[in-house]
Amino acid sequence: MAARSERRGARWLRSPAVRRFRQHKAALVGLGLIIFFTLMAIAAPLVAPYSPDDANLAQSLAAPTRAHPFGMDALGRDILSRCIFGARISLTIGLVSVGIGTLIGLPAGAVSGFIGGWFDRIVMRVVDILLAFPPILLAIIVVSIFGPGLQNAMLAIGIAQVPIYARLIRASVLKVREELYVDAARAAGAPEWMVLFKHVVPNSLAPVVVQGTLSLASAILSAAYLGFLGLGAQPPTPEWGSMLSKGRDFLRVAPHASIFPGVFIMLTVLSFNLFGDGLRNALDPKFTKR
Amino acid sequence: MLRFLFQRLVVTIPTLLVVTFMVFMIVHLIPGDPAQILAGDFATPQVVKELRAEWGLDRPLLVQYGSYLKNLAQGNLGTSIASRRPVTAEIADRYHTTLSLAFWGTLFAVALGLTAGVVAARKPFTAWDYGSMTVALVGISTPVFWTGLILILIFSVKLGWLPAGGTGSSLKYLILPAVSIGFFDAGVVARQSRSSLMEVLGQDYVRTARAKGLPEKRVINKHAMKNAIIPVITIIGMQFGRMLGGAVLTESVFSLPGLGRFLIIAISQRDYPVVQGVCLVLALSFVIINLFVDLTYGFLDPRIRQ
Repeated sequence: MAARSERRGARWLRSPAVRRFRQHKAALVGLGLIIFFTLMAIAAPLVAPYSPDDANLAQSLAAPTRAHPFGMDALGRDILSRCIFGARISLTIGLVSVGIGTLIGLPAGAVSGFIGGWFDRIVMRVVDILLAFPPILLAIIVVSIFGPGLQNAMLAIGIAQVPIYARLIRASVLKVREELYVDAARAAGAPEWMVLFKHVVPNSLAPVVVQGTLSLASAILSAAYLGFLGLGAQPPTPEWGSMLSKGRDFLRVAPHASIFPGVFIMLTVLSFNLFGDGLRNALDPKFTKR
Repeated sequence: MLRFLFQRLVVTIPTLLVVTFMVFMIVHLIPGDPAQILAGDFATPQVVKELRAEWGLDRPLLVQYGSYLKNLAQGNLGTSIASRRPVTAEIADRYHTTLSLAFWGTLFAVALGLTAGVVAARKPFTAWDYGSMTVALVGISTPVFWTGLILILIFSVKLGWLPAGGTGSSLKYLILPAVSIGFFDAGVVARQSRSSLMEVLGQDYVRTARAKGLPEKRVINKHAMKNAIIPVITIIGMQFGRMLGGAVLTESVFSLPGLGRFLIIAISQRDYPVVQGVCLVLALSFVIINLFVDLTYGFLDPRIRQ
């Protein structure tokens, strides 16, 4: 049994998609960075040199030193430690909001594309209208309704992603539902819901997986945007966007307070974009060098 | 062409109606009473009640929506609860700032993104390609407000070449904001133009053009680019619309009095007419941009026109 699963694992690693992914060096760098940030987030209390909330006003806005490589913020807190703990917030926001977007957008888009007709038309019009609002604007409106805060920011970003997933899975379902194996499943007497969720949806997921990775990047960016506008995580939560927002008041005297949180946002977003690109190349050979 | 334009305009009316309805309902879901905010914390319940009646906020929601639509049909977006000025005048004061920001930002994004995309597609899988695509990827991964802050730090604080914020008649006030908002979109345009140009460069007619002995520059400009540009234009149109709505961050970093910042302030003040007006103007701009993009398709590709 163990040998069989080992063989299956080895075969999976040799599959063309995995081979293509492994050839994509930038994607491997992205994956490496994602692993690095994830481990950093999990082990934040162990790796951060100080507590993110330890304030020492005597060291307010102190420049980087060996003891505090990223310097101190306006309240005299260690920026490196806050950046490390910030990874927890950003990755959580990314994962939860993508989860919300997928959880609502995926069934709505899949059912819409599968059954078509008036239901499809209504869902797609709603999607069109939601897409007419820039995601950040939609997120701002949702946060205004529910109030600023980390949980509401996740909800807002997740809702803003719903139309993207709905449209994407619908397009994919429209193509897959015409496949022969779908007709075969019907001919075998499978009920419609089973045809949809057992045969059509699993075969329509590839673009959603790629989009999911890229959405994580944009969700982390959106969280930073909301944090920057004061609508996301509230103080003293060490969230990168709000750290940057507070730091910009002291841009002239303490640029480090704005530079380092920005570098963390950029690197995390970059890692998911690199990984997403690699995944797309692996799943769609059209993008690969021949 | 006129018929096409007319058909498209007719289709946009129900979309905009739904937008007005959705925005109206969403805005009224926002907790908080504008009359209370306007009257202040120490106002008596009687004063708040009178204000509510004065602004028609005590009527049923659907009645309020009906009178909003009636006024809208006459080009009246209502009066700002906070400033007591017509919403159209308030929007007009700020729209040009956001529009100029989006326009110059898009121009920068197209200039940088298209150049990077063409260079990458012409020399695929070389250092040129990897270099331009890395810059594009960094562009789409960098938060616009951080790009803005770094630009301020370099060009305003360190070098003193450009203003760090504010507005003026000179274009120099818009250079840093436009570069900051455009850098993100340049990445999107570069990636799209590379992929669509690469797809076109593999077509038979491009091979034929090359086989005829045409210089590479002519093959790209005359044959490939015309066919590769349509998806790029779609992206540019979408990004322009997004810039209009998403300019709030750049406006906030550079203290620009644009629509985005105005909207945030209006939401915090529960200034319903302003929130509705700004959302409607943004949605309308988005629809007009898409219409313009569709018309451009017809201009570029005669098959679509027919």
